[in-house]
Amino acid sequence: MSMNRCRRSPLLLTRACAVTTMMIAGWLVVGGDSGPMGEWGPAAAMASSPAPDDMKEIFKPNLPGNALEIGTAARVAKVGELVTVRGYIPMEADTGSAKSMVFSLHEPQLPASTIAAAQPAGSAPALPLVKVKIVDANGQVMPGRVDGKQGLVAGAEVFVTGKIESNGGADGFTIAATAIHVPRSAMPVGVITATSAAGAQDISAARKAGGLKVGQEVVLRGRVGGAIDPFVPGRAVFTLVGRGLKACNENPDDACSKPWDYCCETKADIAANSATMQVVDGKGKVLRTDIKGRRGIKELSEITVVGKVAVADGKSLVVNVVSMSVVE
Amino acid sequence: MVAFRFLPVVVKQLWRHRVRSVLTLSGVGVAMFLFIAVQTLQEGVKQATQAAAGDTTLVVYRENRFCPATSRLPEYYVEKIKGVSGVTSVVPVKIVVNNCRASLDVITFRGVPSEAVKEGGGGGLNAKWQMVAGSVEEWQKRSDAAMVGETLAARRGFRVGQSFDSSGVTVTVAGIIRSPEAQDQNVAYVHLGFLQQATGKGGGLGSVTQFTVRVDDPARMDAIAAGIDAQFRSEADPTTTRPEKAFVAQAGADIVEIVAFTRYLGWGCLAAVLALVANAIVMSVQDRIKESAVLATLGFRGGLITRLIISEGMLIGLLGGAAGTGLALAVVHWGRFSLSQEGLSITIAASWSVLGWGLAISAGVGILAGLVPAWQAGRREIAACFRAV
Amino acid sequence: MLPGGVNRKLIMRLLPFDYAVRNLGRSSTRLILSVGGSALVVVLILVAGGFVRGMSLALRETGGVHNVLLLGAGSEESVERSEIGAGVPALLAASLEGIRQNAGAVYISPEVHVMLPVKFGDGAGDVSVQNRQVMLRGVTLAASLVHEQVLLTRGRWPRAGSDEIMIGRMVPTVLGGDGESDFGVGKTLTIDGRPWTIVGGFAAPGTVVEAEVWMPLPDLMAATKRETISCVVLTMEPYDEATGEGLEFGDIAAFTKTRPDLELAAMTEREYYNKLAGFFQPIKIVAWVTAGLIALGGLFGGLNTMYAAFASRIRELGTLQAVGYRRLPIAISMIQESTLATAAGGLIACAVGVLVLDGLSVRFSMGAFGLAIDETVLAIGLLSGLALGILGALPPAVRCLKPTIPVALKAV
Repeated sequence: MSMNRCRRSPLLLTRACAVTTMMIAGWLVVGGDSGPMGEWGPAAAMASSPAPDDMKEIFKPNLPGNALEIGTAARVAKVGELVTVRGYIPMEADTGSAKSMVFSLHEPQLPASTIAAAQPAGSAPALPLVKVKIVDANGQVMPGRVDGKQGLVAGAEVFVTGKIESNGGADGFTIAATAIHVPRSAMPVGVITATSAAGAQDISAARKAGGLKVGQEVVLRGRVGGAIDPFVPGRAVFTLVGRGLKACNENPDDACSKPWDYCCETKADIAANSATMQVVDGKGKVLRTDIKGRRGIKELSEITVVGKVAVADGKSLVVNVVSMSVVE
Repeated sequence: MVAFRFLPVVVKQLWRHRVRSVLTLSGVGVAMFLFIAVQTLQEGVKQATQAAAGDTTLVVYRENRFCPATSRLPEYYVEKIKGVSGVTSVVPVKIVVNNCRASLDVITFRGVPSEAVKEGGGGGLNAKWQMVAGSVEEWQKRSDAAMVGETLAARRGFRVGQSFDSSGVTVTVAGIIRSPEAQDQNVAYVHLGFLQQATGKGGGLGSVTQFTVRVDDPARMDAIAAGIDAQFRSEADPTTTRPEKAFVAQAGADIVEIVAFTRYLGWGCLAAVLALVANAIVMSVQDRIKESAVLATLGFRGGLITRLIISEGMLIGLLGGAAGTGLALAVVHWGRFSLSQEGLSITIAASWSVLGWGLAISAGVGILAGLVPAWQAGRREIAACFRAV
Repeated sequence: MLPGGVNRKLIMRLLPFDYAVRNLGRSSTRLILSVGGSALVVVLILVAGGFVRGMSLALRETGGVHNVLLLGAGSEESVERSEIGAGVPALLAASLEGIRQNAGAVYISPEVHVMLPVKFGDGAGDVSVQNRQVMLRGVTLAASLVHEQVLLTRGRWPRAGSDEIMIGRMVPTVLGGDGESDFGVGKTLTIDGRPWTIVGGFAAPGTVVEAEVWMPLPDLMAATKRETISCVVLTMEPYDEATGEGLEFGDIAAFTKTRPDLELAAMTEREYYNKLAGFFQPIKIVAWVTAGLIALGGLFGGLNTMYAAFASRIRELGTLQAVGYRRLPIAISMIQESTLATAAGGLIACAVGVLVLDGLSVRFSMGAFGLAIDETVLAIGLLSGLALGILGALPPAVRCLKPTIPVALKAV
């Protein structure tokens, strides 16, 4: 008898453990919101908001490079093509987009009523409208609603990367978004333009001539550089260097991996031939958004800047940008 | 030990218990690898810090300073130092190092006057250099050119024409050098003026870290050093002058102490080798008690049986030691390791003498390990052996 | 079939655990060697792990969460090389909004960091032991605000112009002296050829700051004949999105861009010490490699010992198979036997680690830190002990169970 019990005990114990494990697993998985998994349970997953991890995957912290303006994308992008576009959510609340994972973008940052007024009656809209769908890995619109999440509020500047689903040209297009970036501060319309202002003075010449005063309006031209990192991540600040200095890659036989740091020049020369550009808000604070990547701006890009002198003490020159453009 | 004709017997004993032999050899190999690694460290420290008879180099440094960032001497001291009797040459050197702390991966720049590096060597700083790649001419052409020591170049993968930056200074490799001086192997020589300007606030133009002085008579080094220090005792920046190796010993005291501590690790490894080989021999002897009795019956003297067993121990030690020593030296040679502190380097280098010593020590330990069991086996009575189970 | 409808073939009969325990006791010498050997190996692994972990933790924990370090551009790897203008702190206070303040005191600390040889005692004894490089930091009272981890434990803050200093808790370890008798309040240290009086002591648990000597900023600047400072450390008030108040690192980085003449580089204090941790990465790798090689050597020795132990029992193993036990349960029993010995050794080593090694001060490269035998290191040690046991038994067990039953029963 005792020997049978000895043989049976491990077997019974194993069976008991297996059944208990299955019961616990069932409770965990099926229990839903009331179970220990709470909002992480499958029942919770069926709820209206998408799982937090999916949303976080979509929203990227860094500004994507080579974003097209909506108008340009509407002209050139083909259906099925992967593009990045930049636009603004209409200033007035759009109740349709708030209730799903679909929202609209326009090119200028204007109220929806103004945009509507700009459309000639009975004809094609003058301002393309982009319909953005936030999709999952399978290309399906995610369940849930935008509801102001991740900075998607009225008036926000948004960068969207995704596949063109349909393109009506001037009517606008639909994009299935797989990545979205929302800068913490929207870049005001008209700051970064397509055409360069005339009469720009090279920064080296301007610094050499001197005589710049705080508040003076200037039009300057220079190349992005002067340091290993001439941009400040998350801030609308960057440095430009005048043509009075040669970038390292302009020296023959130079194999510098970062020629924009002008390491071949002395620090004093770099300081005397450079200027800092910043985009500020109404209170004079630097905007919390990247410059690099906008309209293809990168190291050694030649930029024309229209702005007002903020600091000119002979040692450094700082300009508040009113508008700027990349010299083609 | 034993006649050569008995060697196949010894080898066969090891071959019979292949698994045991392989395990013992592996263990001995690992222990000897560590022991030889420690020995190369000791050797490197000895080369860098112990004065040799022919040493003629003094280092003039700011008094009470060791970190290059804190030693700032006016460049005009050169003329006064040249005036001291016994001094044959003085080279002002600015040293910039990315970090003063001890580590394995440090980049050190040494800024020297352009005229100190002469084409063809001849009396210049580069008299003993061998150009592995590039040329002095290329170095003279560019203000931001660097002559990189072979060890540093291999460690970081630098090639001639490549640019790299460290400590806020960007240079272009104009040549790679090989030098018998340990310090030269792990630094990048640049132009003094360039380095002074590039580091800007660190004294700037007119300020150097040290003066490297050559003297005519090694026997008078201390007297000449005292004479140099006397020149600047009342200056705003007084100096301390020492033989180069003594300077390295003091500035690199942390490294020297760590390496001295690793000596115990080395002894521990030898003890492990002894234990491993002894264990293997004991097990081998125990397995062959009857066999030893048979050999004795056939006429093998006790002494010969003893020597056969000792030879077995020696062979295990030698083979395992050879594997471990060879691997250690290969790793050290190809790894090009060096410990740096305060801008000074202690190169960990392989040498034939370390190889020789390694083999000798491993064989010796093998012999020692086999002594007691071999002696016991040689003294056993034949009848008692046959009765053993 | 057994009662209950269970197929006999599905049951694997394991050998009783007692069998493994009793086998260990067959040879007390072998048992002592196994337990001792594994204890030694695990102690060495704990030392290596404690060293690496202690160094990493000390560097990782140093630095305030909201602190930003401004130093000279190009000196980001080593603040001792950095030089910035003495007027920078005032400029920062005037230009940046959102720096933490308390009762009118702004959390901006101008500092000079320099390594100098320091002596203790009356000058007697071996110079090479006494004269060691120590990190000196010239500070103002603002440092006590900015460096919240630093706590004054005895004495008082040093006064400027009086050749007074205060020392961190680990300074005796760095200099190699005896705690109170050489470094008590009132004792002197010789720095730059001059005696300085210790008026206070501080602790900054778990950080490398504890290995520093602090003195008034003007005194250190005078001693090192410098007009510039090394860096500025400031504490940011966390940024509030709702109110727009506070400061972020990006604002400070933007400020440095607007003043290129100052040649400033900004980084968080934690980032600076993390970079320093990266500098020591090769040393940590060497420590682990050494411990790994020692463990490997111990493994080979253990394999040999286990092989000898099992080889002498081949007949017994054949008998067990003849009785009905399968090879797998026998192998499991052999692994149990080996693992029991090595695990015991591992536990002894962990006890030594926790009671003796944990917190042991280690002097390394102008600093000092304590060995950290924490949960991670203990887990590595215990797992190493178990691994030694399993890996040390597996090959010999496989080899000894290979012969067929008749061959095994005929073994000598």
